[in-house]
Amino acid sequence: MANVLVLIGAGQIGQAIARRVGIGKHVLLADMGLDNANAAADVLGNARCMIQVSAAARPGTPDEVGTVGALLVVPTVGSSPAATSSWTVE
Amino acid sequence: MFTHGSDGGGKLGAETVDYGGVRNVLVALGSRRARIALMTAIGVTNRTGDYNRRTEAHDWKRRSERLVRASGRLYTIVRPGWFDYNAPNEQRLVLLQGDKRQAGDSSDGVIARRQIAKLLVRSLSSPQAERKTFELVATTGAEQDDFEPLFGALDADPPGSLDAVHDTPNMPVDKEPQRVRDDRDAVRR
Repeated sequence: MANVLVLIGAGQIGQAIARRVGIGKHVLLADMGLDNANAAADVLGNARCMIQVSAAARPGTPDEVGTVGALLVVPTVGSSPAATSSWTVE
Repeated sequence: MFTHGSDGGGKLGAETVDYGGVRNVLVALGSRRARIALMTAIGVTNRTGDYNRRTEAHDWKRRSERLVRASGRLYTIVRPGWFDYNAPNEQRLVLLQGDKRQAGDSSDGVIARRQIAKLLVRSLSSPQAERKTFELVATTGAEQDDFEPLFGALDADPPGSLDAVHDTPNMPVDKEPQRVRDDRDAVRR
């Protein structure tokens, strides 16, 4: 899973970063708004999986962003129909 | 790389997102190695302005900076000016220290989101950018190709310091909320 870029918050700066460091990688997008993540996935092209997260969640909450850190992503809540797989990033 | 920020939500949003997002990541990292690039904001040491009194956004962003420094990991902290206010001929990067520009409007400096992203990415692989904290703005001229001289001209933060080199010492550690001090202890390596 070394070739995975986790982008939490799919805003303009995040997308600009992903365009620079996401080449050749799978890009996992997460955002409070799935519409934002889906729109960013359309732009980036190589993004495959969208989840809904909040940066404010404390670690230890299984379905939230305790996960933020990109240590463990739980793509089970709010996954896009376009997603083809679920990933655990360690 | 952290480029997050609360969008509304007042003081609670600032604490739970601007600060809490960094705390959560550092806690989740545990003992794992990581090179960190954190974006906060120009004027982050201004505690008395109307914006910070209403939102405490500066204070919480600054506390997130302190957490990163306390974590003992290599880092670069970038405090950008106002996003995308650049005129087409304002692309030349200027890195400042001391956080002296505190008007609270675009006269403090402007910078393109694209430029922030590029600089954050380059900082991660630059030894010259390690343990550096700086404000980032753009002025008249073309963007530099080589960022190493820009990073290299900066002073590093003092080892073990919670604050950036040259910052105004106006946030006494012993006056900080207990939960903030607890978080700092939790992420310290």
